[in-house]
Amino acid sequence: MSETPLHAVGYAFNVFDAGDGREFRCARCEYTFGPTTTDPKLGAVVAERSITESSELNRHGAVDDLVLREFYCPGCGAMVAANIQQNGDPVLREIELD
Amino acid sequence: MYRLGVDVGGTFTDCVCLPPDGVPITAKVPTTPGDPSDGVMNGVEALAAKVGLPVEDFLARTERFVHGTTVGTNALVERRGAKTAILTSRGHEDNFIVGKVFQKRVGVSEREMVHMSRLEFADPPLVPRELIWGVAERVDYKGAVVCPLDEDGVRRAGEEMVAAGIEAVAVGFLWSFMRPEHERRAAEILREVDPNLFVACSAEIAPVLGEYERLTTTVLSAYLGPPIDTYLNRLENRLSDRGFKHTLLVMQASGGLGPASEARENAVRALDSGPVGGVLGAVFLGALTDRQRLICTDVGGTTFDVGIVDGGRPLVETTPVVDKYQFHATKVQITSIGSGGGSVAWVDETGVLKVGPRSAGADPGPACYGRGGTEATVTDADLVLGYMDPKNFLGGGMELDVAAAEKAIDRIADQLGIGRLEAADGIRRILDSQMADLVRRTTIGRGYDPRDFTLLVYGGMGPTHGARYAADLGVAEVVVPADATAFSALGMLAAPLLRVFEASAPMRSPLGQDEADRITSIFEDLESRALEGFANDGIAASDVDLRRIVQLRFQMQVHEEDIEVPAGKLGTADLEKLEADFIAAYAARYGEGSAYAEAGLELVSYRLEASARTERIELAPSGGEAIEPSSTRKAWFPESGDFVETAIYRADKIGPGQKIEGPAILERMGDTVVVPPGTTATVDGIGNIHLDLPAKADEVVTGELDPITYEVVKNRIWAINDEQAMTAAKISGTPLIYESFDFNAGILDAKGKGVCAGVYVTYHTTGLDLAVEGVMKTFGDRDDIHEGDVFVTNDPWVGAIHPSDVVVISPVHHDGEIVAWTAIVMHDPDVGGPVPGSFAVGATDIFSECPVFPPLRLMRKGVYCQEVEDTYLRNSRTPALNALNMRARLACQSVAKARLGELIERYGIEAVTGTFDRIQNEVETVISNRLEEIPDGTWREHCYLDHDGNDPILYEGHLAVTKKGRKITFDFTGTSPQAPGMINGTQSALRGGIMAAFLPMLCYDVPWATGGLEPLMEIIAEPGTLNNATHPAGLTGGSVFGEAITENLVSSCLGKMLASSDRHRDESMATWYPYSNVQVVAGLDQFGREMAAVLLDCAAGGAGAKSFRDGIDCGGWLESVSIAAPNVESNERHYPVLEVYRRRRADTSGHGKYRGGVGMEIMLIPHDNPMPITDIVIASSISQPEAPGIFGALPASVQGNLVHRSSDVPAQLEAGRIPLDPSEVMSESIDALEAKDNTQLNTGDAHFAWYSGGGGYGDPLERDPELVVRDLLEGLCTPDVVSGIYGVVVEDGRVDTDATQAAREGIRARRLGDARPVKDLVAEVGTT
Repeated sequence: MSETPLHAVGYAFNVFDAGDGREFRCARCEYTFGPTTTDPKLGAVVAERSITESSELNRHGAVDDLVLREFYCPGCGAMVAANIQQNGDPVLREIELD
Repeated sequence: MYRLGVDVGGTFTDCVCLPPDGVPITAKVPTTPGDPSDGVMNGVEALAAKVGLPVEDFLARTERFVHGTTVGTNALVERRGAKTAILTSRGHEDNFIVGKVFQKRVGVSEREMVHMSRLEFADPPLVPRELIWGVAERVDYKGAVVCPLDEDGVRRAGEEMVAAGIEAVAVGFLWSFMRPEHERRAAEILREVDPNLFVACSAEIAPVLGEYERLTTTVLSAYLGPPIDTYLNRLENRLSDRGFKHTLLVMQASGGLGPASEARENAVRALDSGPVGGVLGAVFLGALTDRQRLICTDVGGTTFDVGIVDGGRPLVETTPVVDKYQFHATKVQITSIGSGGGSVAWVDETGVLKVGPRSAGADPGPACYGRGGTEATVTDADLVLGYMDPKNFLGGGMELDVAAAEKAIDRIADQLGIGRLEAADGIRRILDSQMADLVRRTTIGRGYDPRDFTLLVYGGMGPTHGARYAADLGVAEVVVPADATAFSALGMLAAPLLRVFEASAPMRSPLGQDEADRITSIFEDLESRALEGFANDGIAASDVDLRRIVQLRFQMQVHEEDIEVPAGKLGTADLEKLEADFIAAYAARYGEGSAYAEAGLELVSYRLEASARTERIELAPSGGEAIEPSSTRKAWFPESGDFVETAIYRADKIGPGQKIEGPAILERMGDTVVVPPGTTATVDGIGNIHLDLPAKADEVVTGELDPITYEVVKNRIWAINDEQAMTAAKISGTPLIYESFDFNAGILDAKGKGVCAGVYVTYHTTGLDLAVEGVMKTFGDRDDIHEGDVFVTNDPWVGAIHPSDVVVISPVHHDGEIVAWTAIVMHDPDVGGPVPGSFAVGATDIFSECPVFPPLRLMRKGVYCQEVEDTYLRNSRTPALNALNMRARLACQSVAKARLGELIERYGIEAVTGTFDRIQNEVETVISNRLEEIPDGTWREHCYLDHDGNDPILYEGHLAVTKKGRKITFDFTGTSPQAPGMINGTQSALRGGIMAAFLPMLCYDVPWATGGLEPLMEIIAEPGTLNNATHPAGLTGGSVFGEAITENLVSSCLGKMLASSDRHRDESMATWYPYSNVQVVAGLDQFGREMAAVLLDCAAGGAGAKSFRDGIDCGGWLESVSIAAPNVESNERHYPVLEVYRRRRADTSGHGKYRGGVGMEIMLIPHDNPMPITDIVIASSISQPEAPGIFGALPASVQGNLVHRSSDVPAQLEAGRIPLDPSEVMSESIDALEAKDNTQLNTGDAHFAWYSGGGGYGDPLERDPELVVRDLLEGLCTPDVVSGIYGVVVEDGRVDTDATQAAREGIRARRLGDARPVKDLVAEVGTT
């Protein structure tokens, strides 16, 4: 186990040695999202919003068909991912490290 | 009487005095950066002392004082110019900031521009956005007033400028060169507001077509005018106080002299004039020694400069670049690269020796300087090879440390596993080959054969290396001037007083007497202005030479040629000769058959060069006699493969006519002339050293390729690739090619594997491989590929990205065998089918799109198959433009084949094919090492494509990138089946889309040898899907959709992958401008001609954010390094439209810690054409925001097209108002166009379009609040975004830090309050 990160992943996550493997932690508050073999997003919380919340210009787009999914760190509220998808689409897994 | 020349350089101020006896007296004093006039006066005192007169008497007897100064250049580089504002046409205030998208790569070499995460606009800009004012006014392409000048608005702007402390104003209105009255009146008003304002008007400073270049020139003049004025005033006063009674003359970049008063008024003329002195010295020396054609080469410590003298005149350019700004001025052409004595040698990770471009500079300098430098440099290599005397460096002023040089070279030798001398000679060879390549590019690129020239070498290191790079070029004679200091300064003294005047009044053929009269009138006006100026200087008209030059081009091309016309009243015979001279000059420069006279001519601008004849300078004969060597020294020459006891001569003692056979070394005060074996040196009557070179020897390599020959041959192949691409771009007649570079060219090995490809549209790189494979399959299988054959195809199932991309392929034979291929792909404006422009909106399959032809033979054994081209052209609406593009392709192929042939002749076939293999191996090694350093894992992305050309359906793309060890897999499983419309892409678009992201993000420092990347990659894409479509899918939009969806997916995944590595994080970027929003205008243009044209404003989407900085606003597409958005004047000149506004659009970017670049918005109306315009839109990201943000950033906005029918825009313009938003427009109705649409624009309609930005990077709440406020003030984001997304509280234009912190905490709390566990959502919808 180490208390200094092995490496960062963007500005959102740091990778730590957890003894029995590696884990993603929040780069802001060190909340543990889970093992690096699983997308950290799956350990986050999510809010679904209108696509107009990311830009007022999106009112010209398919507002009713699409959704803005914002993923936050449960520990501190930092936004760690944001995806625009069709309503009801599966959650996009983005990052998994071996 | 005396004549003085004083040239202020970065380190030294060089001074020369020419007394009546013709024996120059020189002095060199340190430059005084605080006040350069101190150095000038020190130099004058030094000269006076040498002459033996008190300074006052010396200056009183001085009749001419010529001054070259770097004050302007330094003020620009150090941003110490005047506080400058811009006053421009309302709606076009961002013109200067956005720099035509192109600014990010201006002045950047081909080798550096591929590193796209490092490209930026000018930073900081000379004029920030808050100091740019717009005022209502508008003139059209004919010079007609469309909107009157708002004089009250000018006055208000002036008052605001004064309140802001502005010292200088650049006034630049659209089309002002056609009607300068608005600018003149605005300048009057500004001077009324504050008589102390320095005001420069674009129509006065650069009266030429092209508002961006005209404005940058004006800004530079305004920015530099006050500091140059201050400096010259001070110098004039000091000289006058000490006795000088005449007019101070200032060296101009144009190659002539002008009175100091004119340098103040148009400061840009004095900008970057320093290196011009050497070229003027060449002119002077050429006149004395009866040599009219000279290549001028200056090898300094850090740079290598090349200029050309032809016919006794320096070659000039009209759009030079300084510090990222391309401007308009007549300037002696100097081309430079970072190569010189201080260039550092290093060994890359594949064991290949490299030299430069980094320099050790002056401190610590080369290892041999003994100032702590440990890296091996070219100077260290020269010392180790025995070319330099360690005790005679700088005339004995500095002793060199041989042991330190040997130690540094040994480190290189050890890494290469070779001996010290071999390594030192390798460094020399690589530097010499780099310099020879630049000379080739400078000469051959302009249609000159370097073998027809004498090579002039100067600068501290030039004489040491000149004979070697001259031999590489096949030049027969080298001249080393007697004294480089005196040489440059004497050139300045001998230069004429020169005034250059320009006017722009486009005229098209046919040209008759009316045009001849207009041209005569233009030149007579310019001549009267010139002669009036000279009369004010006391120079009679009889002493002035007038040279009339017309700049003209083919109507469909951008590249202009300067052609002289005679004095007096012109007649039709003169114009016929002008036309013939132009066609001949064009063919001479770009190759036989490249001139397309059927296109007709366009006269663009008119330049008058007025020069006052000066008294010829005669130099006294030099002395000396036949002498023996002063000593001998061991020096290493590759011809003997060992040290040779070499004769050393004191060059200043050698008498005229004495012949010295190489090997020999001639030592002088400041440099060393190396005379290699086989070369003969002689000294002429005025002290210049002439080297006569033996016939060019070959350097054929057999057996194993050594690393040094490899680097030399590799650089040559790269340079050939650059040359073939630029040849094509110059000949093409379509803005898509010459302005936006929608093409690419490559060199492939005998198996058709890519060796290198150009820095143009990157998705074409792998299509070239596939096209060659297709030709081999079609013709090779039946053993039917011959020397002199050329093949053509536009088949997307063979190698084109979509049918508009026509690929031409040629085998390169040697001894009857195919040893390589060259290929070029170029987008033609229309290749037929039901829709103008051949983006077949409404098609359901390829049969309803346009003709597609598989590989055909275009040339059989050197004989052109005209019937093939005729068949192709018969289907097009733009046959003339397509024909011109075909010539461009053929010229490109011809150049590449010829150059490869020369390379084979010189180095042997084994060296060339061995280099092909090794380039691919090098690329494979470097990139696989890079992959190895990144953690193993999988990164996913998805995105959409909206509308298939028939229905507004959302199609999906999916990608999982898995990196394990040194391999990378791109798996597109889950991507939608191919669509029943024009948006699909084939294998070529799929592979091209991958490369468009992979090359700039991972391969930014190696040749783009796709053959070397293949072994590292696996691609999984199910046939019959959107980006791997099968016949007969529709795919005329394959380049902008099928390819783009792949590129977007790959760039986002690679951005996340690179961010997972601490080492490679800085290469990580979010997705750039994701999809095109292309507008095609068709029908008849304002001249009644058939038209089908892509408006390239749509190039101005925003770049993706980087891991360390915002994306570039209006930075363009990732796949097109060289993309440019044309000038508004360029669009309006060609097409019947008027662009009401064009500016950056707020909130188009993805918000984040680092935000994406914002995109552009435009509003255009039909203009000067009563006929309806067909208005075709081909876009995506209209329904859905694309360009995803990464690591918590938001995606960019959607883009769109709104057409306001029967609007009041024309009436508003006439009434003096410029609307800046659709909300300011009244109209009968508004049509929101679909992503693919085909409509008409009638008079009164207004088309409003905006383009997406790039994705963001990181949580927006982490963004520096100061940057948020900056964006707000620049209009790049709205107040709602500032508070709602960024959580920044602004009070009186400043950040309230405490309130911001609280607001951000509040947003985080709200986020958590709104959210639920992801696992709950997954339980409902699952995961990908």
